[in-house]
Amino acid sequence: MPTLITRDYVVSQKRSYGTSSPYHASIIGSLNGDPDRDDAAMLMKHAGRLSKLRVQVAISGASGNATVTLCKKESGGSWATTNLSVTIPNDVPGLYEDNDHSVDFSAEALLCWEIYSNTGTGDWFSIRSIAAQISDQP
Amino acid sequence: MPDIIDYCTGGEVIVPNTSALQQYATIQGDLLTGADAADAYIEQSRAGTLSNLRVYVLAHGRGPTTVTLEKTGDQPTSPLQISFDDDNTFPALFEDNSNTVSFDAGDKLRWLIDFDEAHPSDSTILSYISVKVEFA
Repeated sequence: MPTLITRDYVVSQKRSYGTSSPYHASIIGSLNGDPDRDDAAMLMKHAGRLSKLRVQVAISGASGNATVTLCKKESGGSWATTNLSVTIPNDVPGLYEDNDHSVDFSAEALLCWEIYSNTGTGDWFSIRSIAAQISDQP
Repeated sequence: MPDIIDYCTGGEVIVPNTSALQQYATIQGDLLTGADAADAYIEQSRAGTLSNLRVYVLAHGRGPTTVTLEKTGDQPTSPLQISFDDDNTFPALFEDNSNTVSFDAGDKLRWLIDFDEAHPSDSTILSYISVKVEFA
């Protein structure tokens, strides 16, 4: 049976998000662009687990809490948000981590990050990177 | 069996002569510079050792320049580094195959691109920064 080697998957680029939430990003590569959820999603070829979410926030919005959450669509299923997520309060940049939750996924599942900026007009929410550990399910 | 991977941050990026002399990049993902120093750090979930730095430079005109691995902890500026200058021929691949840097789980890593001087009309175009990672 194929196994996954434990790694950090990273998607990065210093970019800002405005009022058009939600935004979506792939789980590896660049945060560039504003793909739809289906377009951002990466098809996983092996079953595994994602955990240890780390989000580096450069600027947080001024109108409400922002969130970064893993979204998952199992083969034949529908999109669902998971509990692997961080919430970023107003005006508090820095590193935000979720070391409490993990998400198992099956082979052929689709995964992406969903970003809610919750900013008001003229405000910005800016992140530099999203990292998570990928591994086999125990 | 060794557990080895290449980290790579890529995407052709132009660093204009008007930008700051010190630029930071994440160790994986998109190479776009202009990040604050703290924003470029990515926390590592596993311990390991970095080696075999490779930097591909498409064009350069900003004088003596170094690309250096930085990590949090007691050794913020590591010996893992390459350098290039205006009189090199570009495009070119620059490598450091001599130095290694170990890191612990929880350490944060980033790249520092340090331009020594700003030339009035020249820019630098970077293509990728790659490094070998052997996990402990």
